[in-house]
Amino acid sequence: MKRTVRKDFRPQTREKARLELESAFDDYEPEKTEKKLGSALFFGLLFGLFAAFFVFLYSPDLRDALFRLAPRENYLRVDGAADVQLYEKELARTAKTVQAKQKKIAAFIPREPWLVIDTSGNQIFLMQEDQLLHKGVCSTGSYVLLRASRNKQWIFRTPRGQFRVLNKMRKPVWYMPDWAFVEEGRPIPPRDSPLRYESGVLGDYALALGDGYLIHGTLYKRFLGMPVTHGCVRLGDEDLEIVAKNMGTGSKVFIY
Amino acid sequence: MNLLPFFKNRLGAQLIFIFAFLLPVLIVAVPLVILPVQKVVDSTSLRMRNIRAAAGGPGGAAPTREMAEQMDALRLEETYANLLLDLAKKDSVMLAINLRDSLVNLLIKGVPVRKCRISSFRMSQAIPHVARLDSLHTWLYPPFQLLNESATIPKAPIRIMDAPKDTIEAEAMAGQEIPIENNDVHFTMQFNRNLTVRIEQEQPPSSSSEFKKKFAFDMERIFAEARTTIRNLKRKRLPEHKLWIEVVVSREDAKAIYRAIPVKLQMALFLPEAG
Repeated sequence: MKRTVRKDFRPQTREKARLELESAFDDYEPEKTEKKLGSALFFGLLFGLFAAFFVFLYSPDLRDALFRLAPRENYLRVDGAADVQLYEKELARTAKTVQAKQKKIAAFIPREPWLVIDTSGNQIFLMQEDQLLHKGVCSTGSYVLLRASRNKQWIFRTPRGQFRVLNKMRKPVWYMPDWAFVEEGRPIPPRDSPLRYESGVLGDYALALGDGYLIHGTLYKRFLGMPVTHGCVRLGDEDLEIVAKNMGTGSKVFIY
Repeated sequence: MNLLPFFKNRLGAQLIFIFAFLLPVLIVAVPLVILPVQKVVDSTSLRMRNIRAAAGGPGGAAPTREMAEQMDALRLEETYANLLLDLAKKDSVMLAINLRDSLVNLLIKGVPVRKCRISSFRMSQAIPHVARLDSLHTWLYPPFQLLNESATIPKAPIRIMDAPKDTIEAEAMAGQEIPIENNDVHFTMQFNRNLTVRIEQEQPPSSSSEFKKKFAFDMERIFAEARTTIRNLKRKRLPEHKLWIEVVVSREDAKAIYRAIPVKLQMALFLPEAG
């Protein structure tokens, strides 16, 4: 059209071109157009800033998505100028080393029966090497923080880690510590008082783990499977019998 | 085509809208997304080229691809074995994440005391790239050290009780109900060498409040990363991409792992495959 206008100077053609141009701009209003462009700019920036905020927030996820697209090299590590024979020797040597180390790891598992106590699920697992001998429920530390005064408090939790059975007792008698009296609102008797000794509350057996922590029986069987103890591990009569029969002094106990 | 009445139709407005939209997005995306990825990919590729050039040099034929793969797998196994041997020297509970066998193990003195089956896992797509900047083995060994952790459940469910004044008060206290915990468990552990491990329970949220808790927990993580990005930008550094592994286990396992791990946790990681 432009070319026609430039080349053809006849009045009627010029008039036709002018009319065509006018019809093209018949609804052209400069103010309206400026407003339209301004709105486009404003909303573009507004949405753009909004999107940029999310790009900023989720940039770790976006980077991760981009890593997915990045070309993956062939990650084979071939050391230096190794040739086939040397490499084969190295392979055999490495395989041997791995086997030896795996044997060493397997040797960590005790040969004699060992006990695992799960304090979060309140369960016990009696193991023989890597085989499960018996599974049962128990009660472990309640995580109660008992406050007697500003500088006298106890927290009742079961310790974690590896322990050994230090002593196995039959028909154990409980020596009541101070907290047992504080908890019951009773006055604390002297250390050698006969009031501190109570029999028949720890079941038929008690396995000492050190620092006063025991694996023992309980009168409160309805609480088995719940975290209610003062740090000891309570078992039901049957479970205690099985554990006590299989474990002796020196047996390993793992608590987590 | 009559292009002269350019502003009559909406093309101009559309172009301006797109430009205005893309401008802030690109200003943010280029330094926070594109450049950090480019930087990592470039350096990894360069390293791989150097290794390839070195392979098959003087002294005979280069080892085959199968042999190199076998060696790679063996070395990873050896690294994992070394990690487990290192963890066995510690007295506390330690963690071993074996993605190859889909197991999370709690270890005490090298003895696996709890084996948790992984129902699914995801890991950062950057691990194959970033882990090899200093070679995979030096990234995996020595064991990862826990720097901090956060979770949707408390580390220890401590209940504070004041001692009763007399036996009557003690009897009243003894009748109190024992709280039963059945909260959903999600937790995040941040380790050294830029690794984050997220442990999620496989069960769906047990209630709407647990869903909200999980949402708030995720948001907190996102905002924490945003804060790190801002700190990096203030120091005029490109953000370092965090490597992450997300492991899904049962709620009971997640709870047991979280409650068992000590403050000074060390972790052994066995990646699913060499690449």
